[in-house]
Amino acid sequence: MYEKQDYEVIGHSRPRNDAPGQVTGTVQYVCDLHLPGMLYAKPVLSTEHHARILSIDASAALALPGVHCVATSADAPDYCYGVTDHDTPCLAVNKVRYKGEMVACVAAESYALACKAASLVKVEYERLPAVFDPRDALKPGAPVIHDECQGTSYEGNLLLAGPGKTLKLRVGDVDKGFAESDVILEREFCTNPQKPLPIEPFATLAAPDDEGGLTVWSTQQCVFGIAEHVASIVQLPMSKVRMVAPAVGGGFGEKNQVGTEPVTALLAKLTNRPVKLELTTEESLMFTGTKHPMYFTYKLGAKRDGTLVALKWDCVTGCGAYSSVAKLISGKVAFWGAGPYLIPNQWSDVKIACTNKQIGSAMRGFGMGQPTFALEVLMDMLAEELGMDPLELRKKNMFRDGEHMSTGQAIRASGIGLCLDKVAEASGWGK
Amino acid sequence: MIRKGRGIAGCLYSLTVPNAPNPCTANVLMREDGSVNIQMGIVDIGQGAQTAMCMMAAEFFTIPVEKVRIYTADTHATPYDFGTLSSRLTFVGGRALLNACQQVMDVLKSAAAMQLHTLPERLYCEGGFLKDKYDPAKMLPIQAAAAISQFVCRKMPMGQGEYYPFNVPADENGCGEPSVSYYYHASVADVEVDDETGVVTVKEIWSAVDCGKAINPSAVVGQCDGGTLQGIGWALGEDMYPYCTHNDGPAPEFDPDFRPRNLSDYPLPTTMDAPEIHSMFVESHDGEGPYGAKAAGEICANTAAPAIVNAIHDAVGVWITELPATPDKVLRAIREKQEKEGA
Repeated sequence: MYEKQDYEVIGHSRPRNDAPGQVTGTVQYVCDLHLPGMLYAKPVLSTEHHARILSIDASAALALPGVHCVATSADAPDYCYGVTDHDTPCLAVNKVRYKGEMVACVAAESYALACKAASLVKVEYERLPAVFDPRDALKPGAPVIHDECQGTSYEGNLLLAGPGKTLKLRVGDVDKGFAESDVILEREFCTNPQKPLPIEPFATLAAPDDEGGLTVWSTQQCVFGIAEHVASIVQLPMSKVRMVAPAVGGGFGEKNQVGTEPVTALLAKLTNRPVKLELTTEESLMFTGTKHPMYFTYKLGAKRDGTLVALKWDCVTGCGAYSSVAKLISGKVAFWGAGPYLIPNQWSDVKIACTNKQIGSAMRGFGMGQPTFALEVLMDMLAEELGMDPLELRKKNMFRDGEHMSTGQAIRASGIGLCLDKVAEASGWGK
Repeated sequence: MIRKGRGIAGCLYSLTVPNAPNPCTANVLMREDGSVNIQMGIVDIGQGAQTAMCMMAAEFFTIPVEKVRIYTADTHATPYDFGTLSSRLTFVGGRALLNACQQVMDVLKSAAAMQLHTLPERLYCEGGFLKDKYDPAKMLPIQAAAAISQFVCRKMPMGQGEYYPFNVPADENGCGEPSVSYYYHASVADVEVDDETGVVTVKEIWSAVDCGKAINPSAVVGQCDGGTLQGIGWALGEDMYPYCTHNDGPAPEFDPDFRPRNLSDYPLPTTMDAPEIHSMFVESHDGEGPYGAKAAGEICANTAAPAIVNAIHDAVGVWITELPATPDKVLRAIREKQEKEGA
């Protein structure tokens, strides 16, 4: 739209328009915001991977002068949030499902006091068997992590996705494709849970306004989406919850999920005071999500000349303790696990398993990093098998405009060839 | 002994959220001095979306970027946006913004046409002026048109633009048009592998993203630099649930409590760990995006890992199929290969 030959502004590098404020320190992040009468919050995080909560004793914490509130699930409405499935409580209800889950949160006159009070909150747990590998979580007899949403969101630890419980792609006939292939490679791959780790951890300031509503300043990538969940937790109409993102110090995906907002809003409502919760890096590492670990079996069939004929991939996605964005991520794995290559026969099946690990988070590369790793290494394995140059193998099979990708969509503006040529030329590939 | 290797990898990415409506709305207002205010519900998390929006509006009105201000991310004061995700802001937000700008331009042309005694449809915008296509004598600075509109016509030059990226949700077999457009990336990595310690060092990496028309090239290159370094971290060490391993010890064991507690325990690459990163972009022609732009944010993190693992194979002949490629894992693979070849 509006393309031209020559641009005055577009295409000419310039510094970010907030650069002067960033450099001189006048930009305001959530941690820079202070309000009169503001209380400081400190979370109490689960020390167990999977356990029943027998009791929470906050009496010693509440006895400290200046401690206003120790919120637990008893103070929150019976509401679970989530992106596709509402399975995530604001504070752990009856049991904890990962080490680092928020069990309680203190609000006090000073941060030091809040820290002291949080250390005095006694949580008694009954440890339950835990499961960490999503493949183990799907085996019969594995400890069931979500007892409540069985049949609706989960079957055992399988997160129900798509009409047949898993996410799929069916293109052509893979069995026929493999029968026609000269070379077939089948390999397993797995990927690790990387942390998004923006330099600024989650932080939220929530303040009651004059009209019975709340204003919430938070480290958010997605103000409108999160406002819905906050409104449900504080039981206000969305029109009474004003959500603002001031300067945000990176997110890499983790900040488009719910973080510190609902519990801070809840504390502001319970105390009728402005409340600020800033996670430390240590808390952020324990509490927030990771890139989804994925376990693949990839099977690739090709002709002797390098023409790709069939691709079949099975994947188990580990979503961690709660569903969050697992279905959206896994859908991308199911649709585009064949990468930017034309393969006439494709078959995929992606299962999502809940474990007692940290919640799988959106993270830069959303659902494409993991299958790209598996497929691109497999492409090099095939190149070795065929005695072909890896670049040549890719260029032989890459997307071409006017052809159709796995989903049947017509390909236009395919830049894969441009990208491959650019890096090959710049690096002196093959020389 | 240090062994050198080289690897390549490519990737595609669906820009905008697949299978779901994910619109954006933008409000644009031109003030009496020709400066422009943009209101959008988007969040700039450091990627430079605000700057990109200001640049697109400046291009549209042929005014300096300094005359454009943007106000964002407030559910009570800015119009709806779906969120900073799926590499969608430049593309979806940019289209919404340009739709709003077009409405402002229509108001400005009406005011200018009245002043110049001509017709709005004869006017075009160039160099900060509205000019009559057929009568070079008739021209008016754009800020004069804005002032006339506001003070004479009593009509603020305002517009509200929306954009809904097209998609046909995939059916249960994965058939559909889940995303309006796609963008691409490729990397070449040069590594050195110490075959006695298993330590992998990325020496140099070439990273090219197909971003469509690059709105702000330095921001695109910044995305490419950062994504590549994040990809290197993922490839070589970042893991929240690492296995306990020892170079010459027993088989690795999983201990869920063996978790990084602070950044000192977590091998996040710093600039000191960064190899020479050659970040580049290519500009495919996609008619849909604003000024032909696609995206640059997410995909840059995706191809470093396979390119590095392929380079490790090129160097020492072993395939690392489980990320991250930590020294113990690489060394074990090298030893197994040596044993197999010895036997």
